Amino acid sequence: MLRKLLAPSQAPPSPRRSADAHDQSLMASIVARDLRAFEALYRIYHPRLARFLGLVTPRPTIIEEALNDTMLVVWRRAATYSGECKVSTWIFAIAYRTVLKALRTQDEPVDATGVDELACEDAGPEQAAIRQQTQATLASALDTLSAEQRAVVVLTYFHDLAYAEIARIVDCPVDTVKTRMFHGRRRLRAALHGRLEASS
Amino acid sequence: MNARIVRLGGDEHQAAQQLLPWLANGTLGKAEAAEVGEHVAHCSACQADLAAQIHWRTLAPDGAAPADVDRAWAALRARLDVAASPAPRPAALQWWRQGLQLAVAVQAAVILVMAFALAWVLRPAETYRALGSAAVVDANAIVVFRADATQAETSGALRSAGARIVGGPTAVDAYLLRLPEPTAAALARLRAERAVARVESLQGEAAR
Repeated sequence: MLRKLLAPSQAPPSPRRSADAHDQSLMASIVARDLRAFEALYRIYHPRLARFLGLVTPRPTIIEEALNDTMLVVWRRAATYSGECKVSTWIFAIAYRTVLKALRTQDEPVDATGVDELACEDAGPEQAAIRQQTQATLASALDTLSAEQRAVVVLTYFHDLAYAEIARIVDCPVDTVKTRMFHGRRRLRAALHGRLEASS
Repeated sequence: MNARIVRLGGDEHQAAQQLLPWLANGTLGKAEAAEVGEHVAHCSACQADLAAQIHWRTLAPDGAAPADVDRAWAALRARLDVAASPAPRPAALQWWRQGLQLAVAVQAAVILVMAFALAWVLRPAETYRALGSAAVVDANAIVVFRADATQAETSGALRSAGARIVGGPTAVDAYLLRLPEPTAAALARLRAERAVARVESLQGEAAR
């Protein structure tokens, strides 16, 4: 397993590159105010952004609003996309700023309904139930992190982004990304101590 | 592996620890991966940490349930419609706009008269041509472009008439043109272009 991990660049990079080429092509059409291209981009990014935003904040109202606010910025400011980074990096950076702003302006207590629902869903097969339980445990552990730490952890573990790309998204130096990740992991490990290992 | 190994430097264990998450998700460059991997290969703490992180990655929580994409798109589409359609204008604003349009038209007429006057004053003597005055002599029309005309529209208008700019802009933003045939039809074609505010012949009879 270790050897496999030590050759990360052997993973075929072409799907990501071709996905970005497709995104770039859609962006060019969006700059020309092609609504169909924008809808295509929206449908590609809706699940990705929903997942990212859903892990950065468990509040469904913020997720839906932040997602559409993000894509509205993409539509209105498409011409400002310079092509210096991947389209996905640019869009996630907008989403990150949008959700942080939303979290700062809403000061009601965090609604943990989503986590509870995950934990309380009816059991299907035993393995599925165990998996749901461990997912709920990890989601609870993520909630113990700050929004900034959570974003870095989520983008690393669940969106497979490189630290340099994450640094662009959260607009900070790579060393800050590494530090946030390091402290985030430490808190995750503490929150999961004896829980996740038991269920795995 | 052919990767050049990058020395982590300083506290090797600490540096490897910082990079483990990206070793786990496979996004480290070859050189960094080789360096971290070399450390992990003989560090049991990092091996355990790496194994834990690989396990976490397989447990991606679903997060809060995302909205139905069709419903979400419809909501955003409605916002785009609002942004695209102009808001109804109150009557007072329309009166103000009409007044403004009239003022702009009067201003354009004044500018054109001044442009003609300037072209007349600056016209070279028939008996003497300096090299630098050739452009003015070659001109057989004068044009004023709309202030909001794009470069593409301006170029397109000139191309359609086979015209080229041989002078200007003057102090009042008029340009001197050379038309292959400065006929009334050629001038009418130019006038029909959106980019053109006014165009007149500088050759009087020839333009008819």
